[in-house]
Amino acid sequence: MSVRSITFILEDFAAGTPTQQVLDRFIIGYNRDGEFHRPESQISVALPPGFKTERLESRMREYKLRLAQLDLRTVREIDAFVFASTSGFAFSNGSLLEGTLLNMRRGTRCFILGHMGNDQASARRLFGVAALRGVPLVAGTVAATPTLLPDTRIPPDSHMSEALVVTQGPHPAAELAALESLMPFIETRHDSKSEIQEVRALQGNEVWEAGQAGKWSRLLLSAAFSRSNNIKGDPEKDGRTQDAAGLGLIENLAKNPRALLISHADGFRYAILVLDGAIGDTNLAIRFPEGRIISTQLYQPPGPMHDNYSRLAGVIEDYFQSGDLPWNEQRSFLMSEVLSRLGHKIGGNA
Amino acid sequence: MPVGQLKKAPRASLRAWRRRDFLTGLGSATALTLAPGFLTGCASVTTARRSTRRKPIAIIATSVRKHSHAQHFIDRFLEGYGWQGQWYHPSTYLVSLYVDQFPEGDLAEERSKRFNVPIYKTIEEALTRGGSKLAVDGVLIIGEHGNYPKNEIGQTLYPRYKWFKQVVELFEKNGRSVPVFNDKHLSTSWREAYEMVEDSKRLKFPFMAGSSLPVTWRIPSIDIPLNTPMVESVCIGYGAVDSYDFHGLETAQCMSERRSGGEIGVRSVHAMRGTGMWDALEQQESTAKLFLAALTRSHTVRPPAGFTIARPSIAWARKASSDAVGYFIEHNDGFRTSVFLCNGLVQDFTYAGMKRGGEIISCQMHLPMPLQIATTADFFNPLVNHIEHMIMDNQVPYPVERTLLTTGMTAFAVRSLAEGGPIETPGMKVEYQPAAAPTYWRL
Repeated sequence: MSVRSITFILEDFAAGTPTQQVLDRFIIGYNRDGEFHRPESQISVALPPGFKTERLESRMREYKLRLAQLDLRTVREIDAFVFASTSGFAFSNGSLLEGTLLNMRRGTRCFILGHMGNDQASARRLFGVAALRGVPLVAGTVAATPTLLPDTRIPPDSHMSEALVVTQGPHPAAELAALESLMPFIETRHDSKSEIQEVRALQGNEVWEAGQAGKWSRLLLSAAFSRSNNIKGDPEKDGRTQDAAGLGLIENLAKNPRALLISHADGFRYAILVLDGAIGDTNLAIRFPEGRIISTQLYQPPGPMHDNYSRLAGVIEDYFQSGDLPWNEQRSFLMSEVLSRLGHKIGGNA
Repeated sequence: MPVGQLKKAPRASLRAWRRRDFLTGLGSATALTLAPGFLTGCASVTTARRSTRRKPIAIIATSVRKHSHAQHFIDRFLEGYGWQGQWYHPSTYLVSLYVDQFPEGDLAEERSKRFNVPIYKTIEEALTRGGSKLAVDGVLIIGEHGNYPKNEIGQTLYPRYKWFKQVVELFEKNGRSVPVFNDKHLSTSWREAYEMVEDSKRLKFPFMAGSSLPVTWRIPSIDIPLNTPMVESVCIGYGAVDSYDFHGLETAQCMSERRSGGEIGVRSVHAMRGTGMWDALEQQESTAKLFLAALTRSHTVRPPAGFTIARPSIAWARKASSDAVGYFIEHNDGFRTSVFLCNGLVQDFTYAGMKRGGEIISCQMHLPMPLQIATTADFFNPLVNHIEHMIMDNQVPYPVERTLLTTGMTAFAVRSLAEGGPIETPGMKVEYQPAAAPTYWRL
């Protein structure tokens, strides 16, 4: 099926938001494999009641962006939908999302720019509604499409022991982004169906104590730190390189650390460390059973372009055109479950 | 950095480290070997060196301030740097410094004291470590940043040539030469640059020079296959004339040199600015096509107000960077190189090259730039690593002729810009073959 019409259902349209980043790429175009590519589909937006359209007028004028009404006839005519969450978490207007899903014709593609739900139950229900209607549904953010330095590929079905991502940023967005960035590396590992046994969120000294107790690996932290270009403390003051991990400086730099520890029934475990004050970028390390470690930086290019949105736009467009989900629903369920456990509900489709 | 050079013990306790973790990790150290004594006084425990052999080096520098080039080099040799997934200490160790200027914010004194590396009053003393004989196995000349006069065409008169000649004189006096690295272009003068390369050949010492652009990350991670039938290269960058233009030229040249037949020299250089430059670009179909292709590799193209992305076009580039500078270079085999400094349009360096038949190869030479997206200028990591290899192995990783040519391109372009019109460069008949193996940051 050729996707000729795509409608973005907006909650807002603020400057620099993920919504603007993705919509701009669908109407203007984006960098793709060394060329500037513009999707051929007709793009329209459906707006919440009371939304002032002047923010979109230049796009309507210059790029033929259209307004769409979400009546039954229109919903059944549109080939693909993007539900753009303002918060970056779940789409706030859950009834609108479910109602639209229920009225889509079979095969309509659907992407949630954000997370599928604020908890696993709501995500599963939403997925169930979509499945019932025969509508492929997937959720994700730009965290799913980082630039990797170095470019790192892990063969599917690889055995893995442990993984760690070190990052910074506000709670819970930083934890969720890091987890979503990690997913492409670990969800195709050997025995990836193994159930999650435990999810623990730690803060403050608990984080360091867990490290001392071997709940997360300092060696992986060191490997991840070695990929950073943005170590805080002395490097920030005078530009020096510094082995913050090896010198044991991290504990002093990160005054209020946070950690998310997840372990699976097969023994595989991973840690998200959010170390504000110690690091300014996001880096990953994975250990394999034979002791080998790989590490990479999950690079997010700077604004206003934030070019990883070009990668995300490419993933969404490919999915719309092929109907093949870019990642499976289990990722969405996990993200929603973790969002719920981190105790930060915004909006809700429950 | 030799273990014994640390004046005080590392600040942090090592007890938190799990020995089992650490030992397991050793298996991942690939070809690296651990330094002796690494657990008992070295700067860090997750450290590695490529060899237990050690070679002393000297750095002679214009000025050492936060984010000056000398600071980037000195700190990487003293503190180490992240490399291939672990912290890495070079097998070379810094034993002496010569620093020309000590401005406010100087860091040379602090580094000297903390690592017990003396700052000598002359280059000769730095190379002999206060004695009478050459006492280092490698020399780095970092003549970038600091307060130096400009000449009538705007070139900053850094003392690279003068210092190089002093180093060469000492080599001759001692009857022994060691590898030398010269940061950035060799000189502001083609004649001086040529003489520097001739000196290195005459005395048979490995001589390496240039920018970090050819060796940094590439997005995507690609190289031009050796002997590709290329017809043209374009680089888009930003920054000042006689400064970042050199980085753009090195970006283009490290790709262009891999074309069929290798490099055979440059016959003319023409630099233009503003409207004239944009008009010239629009009249060159293939160059304009490569310009747009390079733009699609940029992460920093300034979008129109209120938008997040700009459709690449010469019209938009002209508007966003009305005073842009372009260098149009013709090689002796008909190959063409164009470099554009588009301030206001981009803040990164991107490359596009065209194969015979029209196929385009493009990438970004990625610089994690301090004050933008980084605290440390880690694009110096691969450059420092190459310098260490050169000194340890007595062999250059890539030919200095690349930088000889880019030095000439820079110098003649600055003159062309100042005087107007193209400059014929019959003296730039420099032939060389590139390194066969990729030398950029990949792992």
